[in-house]
Amino acid sequence: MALALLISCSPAEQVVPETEEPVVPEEQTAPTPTETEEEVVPSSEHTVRITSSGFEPKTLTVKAGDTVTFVNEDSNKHWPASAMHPTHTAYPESGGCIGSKFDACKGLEQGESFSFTFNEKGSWGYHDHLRASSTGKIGVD
Amino acid sequence: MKLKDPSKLASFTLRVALAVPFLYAAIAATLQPEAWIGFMPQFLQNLLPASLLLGAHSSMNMILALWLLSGWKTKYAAALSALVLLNIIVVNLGALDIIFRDVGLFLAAVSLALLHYQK
Repeated sequence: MALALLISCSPAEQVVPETEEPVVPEEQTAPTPTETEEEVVPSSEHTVRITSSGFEPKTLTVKAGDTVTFVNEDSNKHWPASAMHPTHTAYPESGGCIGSKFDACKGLEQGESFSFTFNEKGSWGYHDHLRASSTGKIGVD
Repeated sequence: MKLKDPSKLASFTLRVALAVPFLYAAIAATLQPEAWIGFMPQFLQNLLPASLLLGAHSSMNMILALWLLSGWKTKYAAALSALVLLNIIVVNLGALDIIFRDVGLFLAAVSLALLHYQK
């Protein structure tokens, strides 16, 4: 009887620790095609279109580690880079060609794209280096 | 200490205050053109080569700076400076984080023009 109780309890006890283990987030994220969770959990790949009227969307919120691809759909060249113009030092990862790693480092031709992975949390302004008044913002949570 | 003619000192200060940024812009645009082409309106970039646009822009800034420093027909130099600065502000309104200082310079140019209006 006692043994039967133990046996009947054991599966339930196994389930609880499994849900507490780090494996669970995978189980939670994998089968989550519900409408609300699709809005809350963003994709790790995002696209910002560059048109003649500027960046679309102008503001975008992503998770740390997500990649944003800037695609030039305009016939003119566009050069996405971190604020501020012209020093590009707002995004704190050093590197790139002027003041930050977040920098396309050249004017993108029509159809060309530039991808950047945002590892630093914060709100990062950016602009078109070839048209300083064209700006946007990436929020990284 | 009492100044005999404070307006002369005010005029000199304003002329230098306006000439310095014009000189800086002229030199910087020549040394680092890629950092300045972004302030040019797109339609001009489509019409003319960037080097020509920036060359003209630098030359104009240099001439304005020297004209202001010379003190010759200051009201016209100040009025032209005000127009140039207003143009920069209007064309780059989207980059207000950068050009907000130009609003102060524009008003300084207007002040200088007013100071010399009846001279």
